Amino acid sequence: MAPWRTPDRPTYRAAVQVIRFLTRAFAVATWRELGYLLAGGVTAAIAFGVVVAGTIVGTLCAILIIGLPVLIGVAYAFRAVADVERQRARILYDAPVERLYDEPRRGWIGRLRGLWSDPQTWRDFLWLILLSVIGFAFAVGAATLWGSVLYLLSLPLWWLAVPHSALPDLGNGWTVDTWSRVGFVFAGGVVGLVLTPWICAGLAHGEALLAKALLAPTRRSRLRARVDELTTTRAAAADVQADELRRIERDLHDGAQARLVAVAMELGRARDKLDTDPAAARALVDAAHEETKTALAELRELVSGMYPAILTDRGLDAALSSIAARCPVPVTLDVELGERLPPAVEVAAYFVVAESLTNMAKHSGATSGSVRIRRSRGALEIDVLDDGVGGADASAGSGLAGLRDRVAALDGTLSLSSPRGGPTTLHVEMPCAL
Amino acid sequence: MRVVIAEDLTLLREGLVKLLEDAGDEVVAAVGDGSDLLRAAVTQKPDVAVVDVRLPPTFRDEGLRAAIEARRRVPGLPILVLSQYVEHTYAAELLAAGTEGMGYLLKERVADVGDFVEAVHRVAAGGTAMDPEVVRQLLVRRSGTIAGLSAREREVLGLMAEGRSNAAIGSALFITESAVEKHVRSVFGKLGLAASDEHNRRVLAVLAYLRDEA
Repeated sequence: MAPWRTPDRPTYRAAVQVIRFLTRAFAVATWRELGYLLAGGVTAAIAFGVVVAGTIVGTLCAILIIGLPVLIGVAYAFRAVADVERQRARILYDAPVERLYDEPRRGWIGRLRGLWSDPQTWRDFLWLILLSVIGFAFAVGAATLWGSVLYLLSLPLWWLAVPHSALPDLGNGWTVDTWSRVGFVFAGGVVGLVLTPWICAGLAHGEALLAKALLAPTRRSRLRARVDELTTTRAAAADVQADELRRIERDLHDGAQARLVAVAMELGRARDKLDTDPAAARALVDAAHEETKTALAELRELVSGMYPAILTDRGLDAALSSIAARCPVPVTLDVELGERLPPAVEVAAYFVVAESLTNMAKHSGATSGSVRIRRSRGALEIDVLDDGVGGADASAGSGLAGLRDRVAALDGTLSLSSPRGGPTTLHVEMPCAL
Repeated sequence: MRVVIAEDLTLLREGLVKLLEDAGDEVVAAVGDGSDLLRAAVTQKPDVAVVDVRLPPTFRDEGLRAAIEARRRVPGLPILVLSQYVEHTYAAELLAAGTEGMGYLLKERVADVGDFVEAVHRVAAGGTAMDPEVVRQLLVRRSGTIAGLSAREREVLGLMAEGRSNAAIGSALFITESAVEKHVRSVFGKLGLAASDEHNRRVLAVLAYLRDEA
């Protein structure tokens, strides 16, 4: 059978457009719009009640100190209705309106102040007032329009079913009593069926636009939230770095530095004994020699933990191949990167994989694992999976928590799923450009 | 024995020169970067070149590349690469450039002068010298398949992969050479490797086996 092909002609496309215009009543979007508007009628009624009751109670309570908790309650009631309103957008667009409030402060007064100074509180309030009016009006309008259309379209059936005298008066004694009038009314219904969906679409999207304008965070509050987030992650990054330096200091102090002191001491004693007791001197030199080798091994270990040399030499792909090959659990590695990433991202990615594979080898009991790392839409995505027993923990103090801070410092996210019985999956996303 | 040394840190370079001269070798050139190494390798045709991985100007794996290039220009030139850290992938690259007369050791192994000089001479004679650290990395990834070996056999396998002779393995483990031979045969049998009497071929078979994807 020859494949059916869409004729690519302007007339054909125009015809499709006309048909789409005429049959809008049967499109899914139409029913979503109607649903949105009718739901708006319900929330409008709720909003009206909450606004009236809240304002009265709030005004009365504001005079009394004891009214503080009530006032806070009123604010949260407004917020709850606003949240329902944000969710109502899903009927229309699949996604709710974005939600962003200031972090709640401590104490009753602090909390009230926070609510008071958060511009979103007032924007919510404004929307609830607006909704009480237009939400209700639009719902009634949409219901009336659709009711009329259905009525007009069904009138011919009524004319057939019941005696002519029982038909209603459509104005000035004009009743549907002849076939031509039946046809006229039906035609009116059809016109209504074509136009009503478009009118309702306008109402629904207009209402949604207004709702979004007031309920979604402003650019200003978005920026403020971003600054808060950056402040937190920067502090965490500084902590990670400070911890790292402390660890290195301690390792050097207790390790190589102490060993070199011992070596110097042994060599000093050996020098003093060279003439009097060559055998003892020799034993001391031997000990110093051993001590130096241990110090070297410790330094090598420490240095490789600070910055993996192969990353500098060969890049992320080679470095990951090397650690994957060194993992006792067989690991498949899938790397798709293209050009090199900023060094900070490379190091973070390296340590994410290295730590995950260490955990996998130590705790998971897995028989196989996989690492997938790729760029997608300006972000670096890392997925580490294993078929082990699960139960991994990313709470404070674990190596994974350190990784989370490291990733967060680069504006990335780390999520871990590791139910008892497995499997364990780790997903990390970091922006490629800093 | 005529030796070329490529090492950019003067202190270490002079140390290596003294160490090898003390052992009775002749250092015909001691250079500080990759291009000088290539020149010395071509003009001097030494018995062995001792090369540091990290050399100027990039201070990355310049030395490794220079060593592989030198081996290409002077076929069969024995090379011992030294590095502050070892990476089994680098070992694989070196062995891919030539299996005989190839060595890869941690720089700090020079502390055991006798062992180090022995490794230089072994490489110069066409043998292999793999750092225990590289062997350890290779053994980890093969941990599943070598689980069937006894502890002693695993020790023998590790020392063999480093390129040591039966006599050296015997003295390291305090057992007789014939006991070593027995263990070696058993290891080869269990891993399904074709036995070979020639020492270096045997070492390479073990290394190839360990490097193979598990």
